[in-house]
Amino acid sequence: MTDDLDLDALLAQAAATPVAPSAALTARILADAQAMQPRPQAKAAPSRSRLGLLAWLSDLAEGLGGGRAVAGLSLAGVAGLFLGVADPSALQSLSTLIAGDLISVDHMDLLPATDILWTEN
Amino acid sequence: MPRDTLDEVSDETLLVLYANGDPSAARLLTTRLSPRVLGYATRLLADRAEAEDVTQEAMMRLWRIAPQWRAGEAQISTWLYRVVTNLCTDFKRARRRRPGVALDDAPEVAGATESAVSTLMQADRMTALQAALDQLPERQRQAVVLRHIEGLANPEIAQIMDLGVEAVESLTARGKRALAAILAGRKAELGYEDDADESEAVG
Repeated sequence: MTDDLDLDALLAQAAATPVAPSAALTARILADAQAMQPRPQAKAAPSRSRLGLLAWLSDLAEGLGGGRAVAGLSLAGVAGLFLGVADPSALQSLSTLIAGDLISVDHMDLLPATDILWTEN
Repeated sequence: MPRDTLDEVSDETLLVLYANGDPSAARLLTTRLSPRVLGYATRLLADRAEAEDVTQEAMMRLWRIAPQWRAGEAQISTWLYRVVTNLCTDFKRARRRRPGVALDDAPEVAGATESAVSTLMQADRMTALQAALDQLPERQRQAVVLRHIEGLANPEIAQIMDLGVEAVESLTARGKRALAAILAGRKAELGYEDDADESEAVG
């Protein structure tokens, strides 16, 4: 026994001797596994409260490409609104900065008077 | 996924399938891993009931970590051995705080109920080996069991025990020497001298 060969044989015998889990232990392990298993992400049916305008908006957002796309569109809309109502002097200095003296516009009537339309004959 | 196909996939793939909701993956992982986990825990604790508790807890931690498992970082079996090593250390600490608990429960050995004398002798030898393992210092016992019973390579044992490979080699060598010394006094009792006599008679 004291020589290495005997001990190796004994250890090899132990290695070849299975320690089998009981059916009860296997059942406990599988019950844990089932309880802790993540559920597949199924698409839930819309609830009654989501019907109507909210559901329509949600579907529209999804159709446009999701929340980020909607956020981008909103930002573009706000920027457009700002450009529409902001004092144009800031834009004039911007155009001067870009184009210098090549373009000099003192006045531009983007919405001509409509008096002519009211004049009869 | 069909069962036949699952039989051939890696533990890691099975864990991903489990995390994705595949109902067959957990059963296959349990079939593959729980005997190894239970065997290792039984060798470390020498207590079947505690080893079963450790096995259930280790497998529960595997189910819990499944969704966050990062592919390629570690082998699942290595990770499990490490978890079991730590859990067994915790169980032994708790046991030391509960004096009077019987420590001599030998692991159940397959075939021990058969009546053949040679089988009984083998069972005795396994019981003696377990008793000798119990007398080793904890780290030596872990290293010897992982190397010589679980059959792992030293680098993997080093990962499990959070040691260098040289330290593992040293622990294993010292553990084997200590085992041999402990078992030396039981040579005749375990029938090794009879085996030697038979060998000589045959020779």
